[in-house]
Amino acid sequence: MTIEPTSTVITVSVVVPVYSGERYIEKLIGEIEAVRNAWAASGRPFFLSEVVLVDDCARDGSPEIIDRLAAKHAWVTALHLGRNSGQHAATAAGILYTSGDWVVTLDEDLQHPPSRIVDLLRTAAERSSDIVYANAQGRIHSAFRDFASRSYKRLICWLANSPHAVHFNSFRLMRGPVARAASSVCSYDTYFDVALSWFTGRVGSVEMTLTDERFQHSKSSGYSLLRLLSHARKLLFSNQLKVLRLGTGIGIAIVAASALLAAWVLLAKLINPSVFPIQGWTSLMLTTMFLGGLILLMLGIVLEYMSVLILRAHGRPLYFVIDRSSDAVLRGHFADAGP
Amino acid sequence: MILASGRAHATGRHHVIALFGLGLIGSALQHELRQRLIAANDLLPFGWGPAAPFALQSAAIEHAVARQATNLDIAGQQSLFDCVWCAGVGGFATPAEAFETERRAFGAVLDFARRLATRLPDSEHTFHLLSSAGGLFEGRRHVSGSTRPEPLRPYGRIKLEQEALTRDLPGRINTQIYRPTSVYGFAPRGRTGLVAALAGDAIRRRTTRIFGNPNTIRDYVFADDIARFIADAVVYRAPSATHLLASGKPTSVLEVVRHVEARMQRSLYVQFDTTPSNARDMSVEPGSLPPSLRATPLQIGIATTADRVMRHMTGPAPSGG
Repeated sequence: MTIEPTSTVITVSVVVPVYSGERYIEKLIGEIEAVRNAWAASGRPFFLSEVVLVDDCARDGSPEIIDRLAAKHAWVTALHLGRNSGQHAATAAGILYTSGDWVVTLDEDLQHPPSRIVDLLRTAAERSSDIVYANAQGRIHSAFRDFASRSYKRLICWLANSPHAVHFNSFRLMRGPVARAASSVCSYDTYFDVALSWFTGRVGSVEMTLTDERFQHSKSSGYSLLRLLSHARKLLFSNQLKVLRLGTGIGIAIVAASALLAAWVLLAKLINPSVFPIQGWTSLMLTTMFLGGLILLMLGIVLEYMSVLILRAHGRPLYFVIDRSSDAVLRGHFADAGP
Repeated sequence: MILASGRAHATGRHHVIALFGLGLIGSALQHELRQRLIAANDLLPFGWGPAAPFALQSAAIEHAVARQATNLDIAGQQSLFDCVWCAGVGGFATPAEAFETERRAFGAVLDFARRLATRLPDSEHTFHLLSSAGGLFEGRRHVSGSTRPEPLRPYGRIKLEQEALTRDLPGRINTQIYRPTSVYGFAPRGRTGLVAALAGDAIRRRTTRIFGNPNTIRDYVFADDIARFIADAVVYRAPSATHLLASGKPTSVLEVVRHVEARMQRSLYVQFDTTPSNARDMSVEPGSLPPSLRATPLQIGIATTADRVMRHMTGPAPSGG
């Protein structure tokens, strides 16, 4: 079936990073094709224009399947990375090959149903969001892993002042320009969702029940513990953390306290020279407190500078302009379509 | 214009090539042909001014081509004649009336190709036209070989007109029409593309004005890749065809800026128009590209272009020792 987008239709691109998906990709593409055909048949103002399958140096027979699918469907693009770069790098690479007004990222293993893309789009249109995450309900992996993941994200929310970190999920809908801009600036160690948050604050989420088929079948996930830890490290270091500012604050407080204490010690010594019986205690105490505070303050300033430089190296922009003018078409459509 | 003649290394056949236009693609093609042919190049005048004597100029070129072909005939070898049009005066913002000169010049070159086909009936003749996918498909995404051109501006309309005129050439002239997307690279003459402009302005510490917005999507294709593809068509011959030439990778202006910044190792000063005249997106379906077009990855193409700009502006690097 050949479907051509018109120049006015809103286009949606799908990106799927693939690492060990030989059992799932064909079925996934089948589901995406069903959604694509259903959208086109029902005359919706949006169109699923392309799917980019990114072979992240897959460890199974996925690359051949990807090539076969790309040869079969003109709307499927196969992309092969030279080495295993990780899910976020593969996602960014795939996004840079899209041209859709909106970009959706899905996992390879069918845990993200393509039929729910429309719900993400509806939320984006109704709330003028630039990013909409699937907010996973229920148990996806093991109870411990789900708990650890949620707790860590909450910690990052607090540490990094990033209220949306708790929603971070690889099933996400992004405004095309935002997704491509974030992918352009992502460097080696940047956590992709953190990069997205530099470009917009309008982030929404849709609650949905997601199940990891791979985990249900094999009790193993596509991620090893080491990979999860590396993921967690990236998330931590891509953010500008409160603790750095805390260090500077503590330094300033100690310098101020030592100045006050110094004044009191000096005054006490002048008024009553025998108040401190040990010779030299006063000057030693004053010097230690002042220098300790000063060192902490300087360290805080250095860390602050470093965090600015690191964010610059990660590619954080000063500002970003977003055009949301096409949202009215989507809003109109969803208002007519009802809940 | 350049008149090149010589024997191809790969096939051993003799070529006479009239190359009109020495801009971004023309100069890359000239360089590519130099590597493929044991050739002699003549630079012949082909002026563009409103009062340019097209008839006189094309007669002089025709005479030079005939002389080359006669020399080959005397040597008992059949010549292959290629006329390549990669010239043009205007860009996206050029008004319709400004294309009048180009229309006249192109007409003169087509006449010249027709006359040569009559004068040298034993030679194989091919006319190569550099059209523009950007002009023909402006504002269209997922363009494929079957997408119908719908130009929005005079620039695209004249390209479509030139394509039709080329297809109307007599049947014995083979025609090759190329539709490149946004071509980048460096040429000392002609229009400066986005990448070369950014690299040049980075060296001069100047602001680059971009007639799009940071999110405008284009398909950037390296001039050297286009030149290689055309040179293949010149050397190996192929039936008449229209080729969509692109990298197949949609790229935002912001991504280009980031790559140039990384290569130049300095911040770029860019200014985007508030009402950009050229901000419509354009992308190409990768599956519709000719398999023999081996597109250079964007980072490598940008790095190569930036290095050429640096060499041109700062001179050759001092040798060590």
